[in-house]
Amino acid sequence: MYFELLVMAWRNLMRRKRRTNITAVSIGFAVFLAITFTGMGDDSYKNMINTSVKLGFGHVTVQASDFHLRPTADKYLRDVNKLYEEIVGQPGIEHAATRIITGGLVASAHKQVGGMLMGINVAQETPDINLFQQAIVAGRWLAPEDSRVAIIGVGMADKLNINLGKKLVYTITDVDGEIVSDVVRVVGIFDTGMLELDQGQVLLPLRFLQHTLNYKNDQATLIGIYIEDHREAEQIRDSLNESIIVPDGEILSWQQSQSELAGMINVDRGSNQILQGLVGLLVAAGIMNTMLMSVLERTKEFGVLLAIGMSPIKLVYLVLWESIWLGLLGLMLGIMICIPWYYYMDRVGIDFSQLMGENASVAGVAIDPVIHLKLYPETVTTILVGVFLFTLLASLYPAIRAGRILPLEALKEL
Amino acid sequence: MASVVLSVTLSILLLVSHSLFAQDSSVQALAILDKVDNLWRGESSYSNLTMRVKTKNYQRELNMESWSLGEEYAFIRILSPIKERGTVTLKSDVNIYTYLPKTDRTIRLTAGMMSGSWMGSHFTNDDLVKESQLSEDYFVQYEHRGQSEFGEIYKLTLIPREESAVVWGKIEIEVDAQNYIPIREYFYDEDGELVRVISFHDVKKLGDRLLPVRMQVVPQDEPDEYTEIVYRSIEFDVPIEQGFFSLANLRRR
Amino acid sequence: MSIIEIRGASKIYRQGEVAVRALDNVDLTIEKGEFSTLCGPSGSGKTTLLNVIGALDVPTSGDIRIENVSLSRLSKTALSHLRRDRIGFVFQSYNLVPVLSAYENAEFILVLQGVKAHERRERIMSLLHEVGLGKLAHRRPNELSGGQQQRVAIVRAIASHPAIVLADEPTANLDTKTASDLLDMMQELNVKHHITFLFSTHDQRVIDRAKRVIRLVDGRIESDDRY
Repeated sequence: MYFELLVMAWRNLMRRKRRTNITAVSIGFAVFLAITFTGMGDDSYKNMINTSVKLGFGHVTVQASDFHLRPTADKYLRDVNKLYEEIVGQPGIEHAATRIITGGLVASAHKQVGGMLMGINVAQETPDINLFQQAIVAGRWLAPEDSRVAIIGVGMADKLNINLGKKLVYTITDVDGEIVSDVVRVVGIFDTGMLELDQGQVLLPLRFLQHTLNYKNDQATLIGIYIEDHREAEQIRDSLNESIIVPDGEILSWQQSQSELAGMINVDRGSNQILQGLVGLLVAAGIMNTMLMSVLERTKEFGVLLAIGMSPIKLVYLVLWESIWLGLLGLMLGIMICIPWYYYMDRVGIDFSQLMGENASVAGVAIDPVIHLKLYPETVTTILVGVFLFTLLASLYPAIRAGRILPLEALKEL
Repeated sequence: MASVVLSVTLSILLLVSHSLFAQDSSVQALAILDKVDNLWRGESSYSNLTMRVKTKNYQRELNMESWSLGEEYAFIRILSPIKERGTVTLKSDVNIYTYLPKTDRTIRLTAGMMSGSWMGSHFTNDDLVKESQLSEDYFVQYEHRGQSEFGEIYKLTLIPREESAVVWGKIEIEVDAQNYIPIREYFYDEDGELVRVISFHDVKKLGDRLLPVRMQVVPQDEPDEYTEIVYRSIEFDVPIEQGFFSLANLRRR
Repeated sequence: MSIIEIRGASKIYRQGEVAVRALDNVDLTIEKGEFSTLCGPSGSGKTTLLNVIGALDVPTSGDIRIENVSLSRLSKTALSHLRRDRIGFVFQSYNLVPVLSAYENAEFILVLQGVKAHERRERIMSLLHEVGLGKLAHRRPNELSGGQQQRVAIVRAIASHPAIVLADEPTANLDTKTASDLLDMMQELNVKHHITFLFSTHDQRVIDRAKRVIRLVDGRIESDDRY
């Protein structure tokens, strides 16, 4: 029975080719919009997250408890060297780096500015996990034998009116809460394009910062962990929680350690989804209208079918089958539009640099001005299934309406 | 009291002996520097002073009283204007606390807040903390003894030690050769650019010492601005306990 | 055995303030193998009676039995199944499903009944050949003439071996020759397969061929003649 029904449904759909095509195109367009919006969003989220994690905390952070809430020097990890070895041996972890992060005052003869100091173990850093290493524009990156040196941003060099080789005095609060100062010489200057970082970030050798803070050699603020796919951060965090013990510490995902970014992404994703939902409703209204029209104009035909003994529920199925075909047709069209679009966006993308201006950052994180599409298989599946369900849902009322036709009344129609 | 006299005596002796032999100029310079450095320093002190600040945007005058004990402790309380009366800055070792009577709150300045201006002046909070012996952080070179509009002067050049946490590239100090009273201090960056000048005026006898009672700071990038401190009275070696410089005392005063 | 038994059937419609008595205390029995017709002027109640027999309409009072089953006791689903399994419908305007071929239209009820494909094929093809449409089985309704469409409709009505075929003005849209051929065909089916036909018509050509003519006036049976 169902085979005959679906053949009949397909033929019914093809009776009004133009109307069917227009509706299918609108479904295809909904797929296209959803793919584009979601893909663009996911691409920019991915870039923002991967940039943000390179500023220090990593995708997953092993840190002294509550450091991200109140970042003070009295919160530190012990035995970081042993911990580091344990962490890099865990599955799913691509890189890890031991870091000290502390806020303080940075001064030259001319000016004093607030700044974030990050102590790094240069042997553990790579340009893939450290944004500043990618962005050196003058001088050099830190070397393993470095001690009393620093790397600063162009903005800070400008503000403090200093350059390579010049000294910089920083004042921070040490492990005991005492205010301490030290002097370092600038060996490198970076330009990340992000005002806040370029004016406020200082990189120092881990050892030297440990010395200033009165930390021991195996004490640091955190270990930043880097993984392949940012979406697996929570999962990696949980598995790390099971496999390693961090005394007086905790393991956070980037959503926790960089909650401002996570919140912003959630808001953006939410508004994106609302927008898509509205587009979906619009398309669904179109589908409902089409299906209702096609049911109403066939009242007599359906009345005859009911009269000769077709059960109302089968008539409902018939109309639903029509919408299934319509949905599948729309999805096919959508996929056909999206494949070349995806390849174009993947290779070329859309350059938004004109619109975004010079200093393009959100929540302190740079945005790539060229937008691509990042499509995760499950996103595509969700969109296709979602649009299909929307089609089906929109046809539910027309289908039920068909099942409610009274044969006697219908037969009186001409 | 006794120790101050002793140190002054020793310094003079050193000074005299080295001016006689003059071959070890840095030792001589060091002695002059320490004298200058110790000018305001007693075991303890109590003073009344006025601070005038002039910037492009505002001009203000604060009257305050100040207690100090050694290099580590200072307690500065504002007397007028009425609006700010009772505001206290407490320096205890390397920490600075500010007490605001209006809100009855005490704030401990963090490292990041050290760059902030102290009471709207051209001094930063950091300047208050870093009031240590200059000779600890700098190599001193004796330049020359010469003449200026103020009469005979010594000129010293201070070069920071590599590991000293000081921002300056060089400091030059002119000292009145008669009284060992500073006349001007020039602060340079590492490129030799003059950043700020402190000048000392109105030498008077306050208590048992001859002191310049007016001191003016002029930032060189804003030459029309200045901060001026005028001592109305100062007493050295007043009887005061370490317990005076406590958080509990902030509110009581 | 009687196929249809009607006892005291009345049907009252409300048209605004006025109650219209479409059927008025009708008693009627139809036996297997009959080739009968309901006739009468418009509004005499013949279509209502046909609808009541076809389980499409419910009488206001009275009892309808089809093969000794009282319709008043049946649920909507049971009525739907009864129409599917025991009653064949032929309409004035053929009412074939436009997207299905002649064969598929004829086969439709068997599909609903769940008859196996090869059995459907045998039954339908033999019937289509019998009505002279063997070669047109693959055509869509709009590729067939009115007479051919009505033949397909008749095959659809009889393929499921119903107890009775109800035909409402089956010849009204056909020219004389076609109508005559169609009636010949139905008479042949009646004789050969003992299929019971009940027409509702005022077409004299049909009335002339009927073996029993039931005349309705104002919802009442005025005459019931057998020939």
